[in-house]
Amino acid sequence: MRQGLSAVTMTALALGYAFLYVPILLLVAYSFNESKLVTVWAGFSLRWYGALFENQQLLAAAWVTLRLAVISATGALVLGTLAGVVLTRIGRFAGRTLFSGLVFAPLVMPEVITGLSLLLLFVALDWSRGPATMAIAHITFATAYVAVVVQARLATLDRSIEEAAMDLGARPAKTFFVITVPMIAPGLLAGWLLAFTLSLDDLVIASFTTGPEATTLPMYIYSKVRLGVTPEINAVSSILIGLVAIGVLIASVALKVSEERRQRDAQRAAAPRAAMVPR
Amino acid sequence: MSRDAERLRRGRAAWAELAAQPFIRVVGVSKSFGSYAAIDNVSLDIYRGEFFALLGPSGCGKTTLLRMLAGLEFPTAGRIEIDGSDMTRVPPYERPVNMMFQSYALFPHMSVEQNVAFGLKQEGCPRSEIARRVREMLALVQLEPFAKRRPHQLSGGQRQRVALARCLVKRPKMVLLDEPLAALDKKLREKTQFELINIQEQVGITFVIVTHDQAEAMTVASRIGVMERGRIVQVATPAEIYEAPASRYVAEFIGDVNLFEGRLLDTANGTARIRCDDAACDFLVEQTVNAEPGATVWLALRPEKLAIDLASPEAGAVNQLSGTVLDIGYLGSLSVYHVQLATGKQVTAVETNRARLVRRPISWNDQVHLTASPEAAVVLLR
Repeated sequence: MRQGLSAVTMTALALGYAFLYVPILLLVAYSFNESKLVTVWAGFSLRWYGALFENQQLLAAAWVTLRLAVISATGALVLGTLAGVVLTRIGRFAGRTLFSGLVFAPLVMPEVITGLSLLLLFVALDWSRGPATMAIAHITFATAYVAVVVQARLATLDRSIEEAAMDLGARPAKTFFVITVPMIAPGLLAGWLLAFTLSLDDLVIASFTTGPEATTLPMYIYSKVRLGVTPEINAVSSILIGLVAIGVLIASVALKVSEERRQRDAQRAAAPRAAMVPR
Repeated sequence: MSRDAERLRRGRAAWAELAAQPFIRVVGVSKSFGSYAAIDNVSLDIYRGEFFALLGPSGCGKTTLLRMLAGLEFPTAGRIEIDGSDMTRVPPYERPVNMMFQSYALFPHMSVEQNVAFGLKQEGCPRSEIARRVREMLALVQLEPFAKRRPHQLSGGQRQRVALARCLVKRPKMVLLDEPLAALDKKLREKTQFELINIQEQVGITFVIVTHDQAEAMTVASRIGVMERGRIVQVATPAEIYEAPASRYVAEFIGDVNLFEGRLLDTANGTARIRCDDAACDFLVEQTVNAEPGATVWLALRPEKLAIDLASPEAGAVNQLSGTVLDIGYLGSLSVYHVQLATGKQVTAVETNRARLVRRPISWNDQVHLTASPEAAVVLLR
């Protein structure tokens, strides 16, 4: 495996990356375009970013989106963590397989189905649709992602650490908050950020579950694009891409840190002799 | 053999006194996981101040029994009493018992000090008292300079002592140790065994240790419970376990032993005569055997209790075997001789090398004579 990259693999790699990222780079580049025409380059300018902050409609949509993302990520974190704890700590119980299936189903469920079924539910319950129903919908599908991350972290955690805390007199709830939560904190952060970015860029489910007065940023962009792409849209999209990229980056760094810590602990447990020499 | 003297080896032999009240009582406890019975109707009494070892091969249920004492598992049947109160279904956080885990289970996000203080904080101890008791405990295990370190900045031996300090600081009625020294290397393990004994004698708390290492159990424990497949097969002092094992399983698990199958010829005046076909010899054993003549019994002879000699023993000597030397293992302090008898059976004899060995007096293929005194052997019925 020490051949390095041949010309063929390099080309394939370049083409692959180009296919994935050139459109995004173009979009970001044109967001700095002076011209009003999207396809004609007329020099560098921050004009469209400035224009964003005068567009009340867009700012309102951004505010709705941000609030929605924070609320649904927090809700999904709580529910997903509970699901992860149940799946790794309760042991066998009646309906465990069904429960884990139901928790993880939203991962593979087409968004259209999730959105439509939730819409039908809200209509049947006669709830007026708006930010609240959107938050419920986002929590529903983001919970699955949080549960995956938290469960993976909990499964590799040495159970006897929690047992030791209980043995020393901490009740189960206290053990969870004082011992378990600090140890899985990187996983919790990663789960929250994942849920946050999922909510931030969701169009389909939000469209199904919102009402007339609540429009999210992706919905606003989508409706504008149907009338033609404007540089303003490029600018707002660039900001959105930046936010999502930062979120994903922090989440993956947090996961990597927690994984390294786990491996280091495991190595020390496996080879305590090596660690013991410098006494 | 003076058993009473052995019983008093540690100076407090509560289990030998009929009037003594057991401190911990395990009564008819069973535990099954699904259809697998990990613990099968175990009853056990442990006395105040004892250092009790649960010894057995892996999978014999010793850790499960320990976890039930800690409250981390609940028995399927039976009762567990600690200091007179029923603890069978009391959760771990309400038991006056602390456990030291095999992995040490230190809290990685807390310093040594915080780890040790954790248990006292849960009790709602005042801050000044917590600080004082933590300091005392760190002094006891010689970890004062490391109070501010995190567990991952400590060596294996240091982490082991943090774990011990953490479960002693609450002054529990009983400390449970699950293979506490398994992760240490041999030298450190042997040193720590004596440290454990000293600490236990200083704090005077009842210790229950689980181990698969028979030498460790013999070193630290005042009494040992030998376990086999979910049952306790013998509870006795280390010396009794070694010198008077209850069964072939115990005899073979603790140390090395030569076992001969035989038939009980007669038993009179405390002396039993056993005919062993595989040794082609009648053994005289000073032991009252509770079996009918003709019953199948086993004779257990520890290798160090067989005297090995090139010269023929004097006429009339009892319990003598002869054979050829197959193999010699020179271990420095000891020499191990593997001798093949005329019947084809192999017997092991061990001799201490008292003098420096220039030339081995006994060599390969030598014809040798092995003798055992009538007190040396033990007759086993199981």
